[in-house]
Amino acid sequence: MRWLAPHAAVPLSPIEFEQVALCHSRSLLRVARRLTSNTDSAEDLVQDCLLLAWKNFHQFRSGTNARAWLFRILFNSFYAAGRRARRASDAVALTPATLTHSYDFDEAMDVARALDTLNLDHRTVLLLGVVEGFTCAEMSEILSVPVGTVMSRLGRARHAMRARLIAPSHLTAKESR
Amino acid sequence: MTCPEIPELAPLYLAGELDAARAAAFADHLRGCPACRQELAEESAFDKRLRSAILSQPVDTSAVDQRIRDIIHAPAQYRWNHFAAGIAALLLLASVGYFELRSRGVSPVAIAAATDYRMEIADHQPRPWITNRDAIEALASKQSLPVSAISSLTPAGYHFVKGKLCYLDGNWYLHLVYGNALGDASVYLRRVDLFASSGIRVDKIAAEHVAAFQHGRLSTLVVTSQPGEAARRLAESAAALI
Repeated sequence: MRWLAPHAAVPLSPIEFEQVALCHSRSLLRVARRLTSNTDSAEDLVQDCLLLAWKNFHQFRSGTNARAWLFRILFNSFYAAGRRARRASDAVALTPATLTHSYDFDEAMDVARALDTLNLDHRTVLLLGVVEGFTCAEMSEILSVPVGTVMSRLGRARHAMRARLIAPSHLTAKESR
Repeated sequence: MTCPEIPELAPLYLAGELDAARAAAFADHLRGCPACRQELAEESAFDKRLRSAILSQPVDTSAVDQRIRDIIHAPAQYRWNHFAAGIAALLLLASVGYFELRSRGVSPVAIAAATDYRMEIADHQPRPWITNRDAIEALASKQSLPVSAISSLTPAGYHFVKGKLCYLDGNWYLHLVYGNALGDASVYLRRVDLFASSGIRVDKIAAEHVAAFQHGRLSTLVVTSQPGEAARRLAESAAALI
């Protein structure tokens, strides 16, 4: 694991943790919300992730990709806690007030709904690759799957998502999870 | 490079991950192939659309950030207590023997409730609790639970403290916390599809007592670290009120 130091390093301070890890909480929460579709559950997931990161911070190799390291912890926590099936009835509330004024509300709703109907693997690669800007190699490490798998998932995910956005009636046809 | 290779390599090309030779071959193909060029342009436009839509949603991390800051800046002993508590709770099932409990007929949801109570109530792991009664009633309503549950389930001598949604053994429960001078008691509620009634079963799981029963379509668990009889009394009181 390239993010981990080969030997126990000098313990890092809380300030360093804030600068290296806590600054990514927005990205983590943004992805967690779309994984769980529930704000409370997403916050719990991000909190678990950051506490684990803090606990193992002495192993983190300074200068490497902290963001990818955190996302790997996030997904490990997500799967370890059996959150795959966690989707509560109070899905992330999208209202005009919750969106920035510069973006069209209906458009954001359509896209977010279409994204939520994708299966978890497809949603994950679109969030990581397209929204968060991770490379295929980074996604491969975060998700512990080969790069070829990431590429094929990304291709299929884009195809499925585009089909949903072109034909909104498909929005109701949920894929098997 | 051929047309069938373009969609395969497009994710790497768009992410700038193709080596120089293959990137050049990819670009060469695009220059001579309007169909692939069109396809890639649509893919780029789609990516932009998705990114803009998701990034336009505000993300408020203030609560999580504050809870993390509280923990990492806390004195070392206190910080260790938080970790120790979390680890202890996660190891709870192992230490008391999950399979031993299951062999005694203890339900997985009762074990999950005891673990949840240990982490969130006994060990005070930071969580986004809701203390506002109206907000809790709205949450109850969303879960198809009677909004009067918060008041009507308040055991004699207790007062409502806080609540939140929690996930136990594959299902969402409304977790209500009531307190008195002796300590806290948690009530976990879930509406179930099957109408049924069952007696109250009390199990001791590690340091907690869990009383579980179903009445009508309401599945209820009462968890407390007080003695088992207290858990049974609380459950009986809740069952009578339901």
